[in-house]
Amino acid sequence: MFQYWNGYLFVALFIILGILLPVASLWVIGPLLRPNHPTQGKRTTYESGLEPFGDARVRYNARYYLFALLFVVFDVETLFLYPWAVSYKRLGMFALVEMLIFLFLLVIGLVYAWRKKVLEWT
Amino acid sequence: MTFFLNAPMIGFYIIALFILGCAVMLLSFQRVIYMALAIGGVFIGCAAIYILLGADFVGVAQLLIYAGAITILIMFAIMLTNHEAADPPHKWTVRNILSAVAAVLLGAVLLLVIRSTTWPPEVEADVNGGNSNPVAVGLALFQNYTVPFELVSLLLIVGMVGAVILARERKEDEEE
Amino acid sequence: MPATDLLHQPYGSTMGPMIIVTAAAFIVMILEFLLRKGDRRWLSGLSLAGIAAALVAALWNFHHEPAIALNTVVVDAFGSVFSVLILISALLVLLFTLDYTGRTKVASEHTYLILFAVVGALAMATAVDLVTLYVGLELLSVASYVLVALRRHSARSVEAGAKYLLMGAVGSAVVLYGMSFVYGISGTTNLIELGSNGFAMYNNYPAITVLAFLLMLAGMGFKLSLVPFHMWTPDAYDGAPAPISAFLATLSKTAAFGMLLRMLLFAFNAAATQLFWWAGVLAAVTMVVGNLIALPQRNMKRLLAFSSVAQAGYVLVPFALIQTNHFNDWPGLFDSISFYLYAYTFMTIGAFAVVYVVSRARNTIDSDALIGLYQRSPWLAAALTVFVLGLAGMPLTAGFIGKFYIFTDTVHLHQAWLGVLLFLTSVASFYYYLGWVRKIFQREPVGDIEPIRASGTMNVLVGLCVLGTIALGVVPAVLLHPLLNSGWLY
Repeated sequence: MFQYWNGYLFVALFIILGILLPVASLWVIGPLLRPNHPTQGKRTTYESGLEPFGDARVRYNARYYLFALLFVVFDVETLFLYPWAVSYKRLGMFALVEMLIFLFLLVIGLVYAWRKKVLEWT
Repeated sequence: MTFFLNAPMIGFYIIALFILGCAVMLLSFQRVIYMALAIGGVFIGCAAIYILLGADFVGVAQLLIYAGAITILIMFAIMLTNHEAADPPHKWTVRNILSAVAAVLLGAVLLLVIRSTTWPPEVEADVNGGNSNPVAVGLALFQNYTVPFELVSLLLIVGMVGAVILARERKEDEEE
Repeated sequence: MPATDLLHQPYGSTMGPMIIVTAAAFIVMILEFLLRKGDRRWLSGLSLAGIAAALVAALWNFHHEPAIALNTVVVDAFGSVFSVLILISALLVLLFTLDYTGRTKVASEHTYLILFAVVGALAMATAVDLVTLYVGLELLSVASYVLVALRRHSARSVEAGAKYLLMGAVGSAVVLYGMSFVYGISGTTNLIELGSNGFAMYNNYPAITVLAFLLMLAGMGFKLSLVPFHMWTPDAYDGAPAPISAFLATLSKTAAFGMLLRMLLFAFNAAATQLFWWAGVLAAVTMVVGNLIALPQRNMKRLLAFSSVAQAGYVLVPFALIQTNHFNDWPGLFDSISFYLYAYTFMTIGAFAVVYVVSRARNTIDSDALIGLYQRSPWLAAALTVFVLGLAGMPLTAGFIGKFYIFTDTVHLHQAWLGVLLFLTSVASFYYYLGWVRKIFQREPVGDIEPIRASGTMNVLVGLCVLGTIALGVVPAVLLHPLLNSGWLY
């Protein structure tokens, strides 16, 4: 068990490093090194060279939500595939049938979304 | 003292502090979109707890589904509704006070019961039966939990169909 | 389990109804997006046929010896009785939606959503594994949330859906939390294993066992709208389309009662004397508060909502009697529960149907719409009177017999205070139920009276419900006989 946690100790270290590096460069070392001469033009939001207009918080189209939800559904499906794949040799035919039923039912779901024109963008 | 020198215990306290911090932020933010970010933090902390408990697969699943997908889903849901309005400032009404008392009582009872129980001692034997964690999950899922597994596919489809019914833009909407 | 054994499980008897309904749901779903709009009217007939086929399969199961498949799903009289009731109410609700969608613009997808919900409900009635029960509960709940919000252009409907979603999600989470404690101290999710070592569980971890019991009871209390957890009920019933309100009041409650009874019986039987009195407390509060809030209601759907809250309290009374701890008494209690649920289903669906027809014709949901109903439609007036008197517990209706059984149980098992409370609250309920009857037979004060005509399907539906209510009231033995089956529990 100790071996196990040791492995994750490195993961934790990497996470801490990953957080510390941008924090250090943006808020600690950066301000000390870079020149600081703010003007009005520099303070505006950068919007690919255009004059920024409107509010950043616009209302999104409901379509985005449906896409995100379809993503979640198939994300969960993928997640079930993984333990099935790694233990497949021990499980045999029965699990194959189970997984085929599962996938078949979800493919019906995908066809449903497609036929209901959820996937069309225009 | 061994209690505190135990490395996983220290890890647990750090993670627990992180989760509690995120949860408090979630409650105290005025803007919904920040709340969504804070709940992402809670999800990530929970994933860390799962990994600490030795449930790698569940931990990664938690990161993938909750911290990744669900948080994004919540964000989209907020962005397509009117998210400009911030919560009105908090007021102590009778209802709020009663809810607070009830919540504290519930928490106290849960804590008391859980702390007063002598839990089954930690089993030294490998709970995964010598398998790696995902393999153990696979064996349990496809041997003992066949029926719920198939029902889950129905559940996913119902969720999807429901969202399509409620959120889809229809031609007949424009006619009305 | 070796692979060869997996092929020789009694799948057909245990999961037959579930598989039939699932297949019907998918066929309807596929045809719905393949067919053109005009051809879709066959789909309702197809789903009705699917449910009817599953009903035949479930009735067939009464002759089947108790058996188990995959350690998760069983066939026994208990499961069959609940499955049959679930399928009957699904049949009635589908008939109801036929008429509703004919008149109202509502998404045609509701047909297979109802079928998916029925699959979940059947799983709740027949599974003996906490995980399966929970997934079944979620399947039923998620489908119900969508169904409640089906009239998506009506702000009330969407609000009702959102409220139901929030409260339902809290309920599910609480149930799951309770289950997690059970798993934590016993190391198994299988109810049969739990049943065989329940004593050890309670003796070693009394506090956690009580906590788990209460959490599971409270969580299911949200689904059953028992009193401290009933706040969503009137809004959800009022906002939902009428057939869906009937669906929530009957099918969803039946499944939840089945699941609750099986869970508690198996997981906590050893500690019944110490635990089940909590159900009695909940039942008492539910009966009193549910009936009291119903008294001033004028909105007919809200009144039926509160009435369904109170009725759930009556059904919960036999749960409290399980504490008597005589295993021999349990089948009798189970008979009282299932009989009452059958009676309640017919009366409630019928009442919702008549209220729907009347409120549609009079264009108001206020109970004043009932004034002069006997002049407008003597048939509907008579039917509604039967349902309402049945719900109140008038002799010669099924409601009376159901209450009578529960009452005698309480006396017989020395918990008469619950029986007395049941009697007193029923008397109080006569006030609002008879208020309706008075309005039905009151003369319309003004002018010309246009008759109310119900469509053919509605007449069939109301007729079936009247038949069920009266038949169970006059010859209750019709139903009690199959319930006294020896293999009532696996």
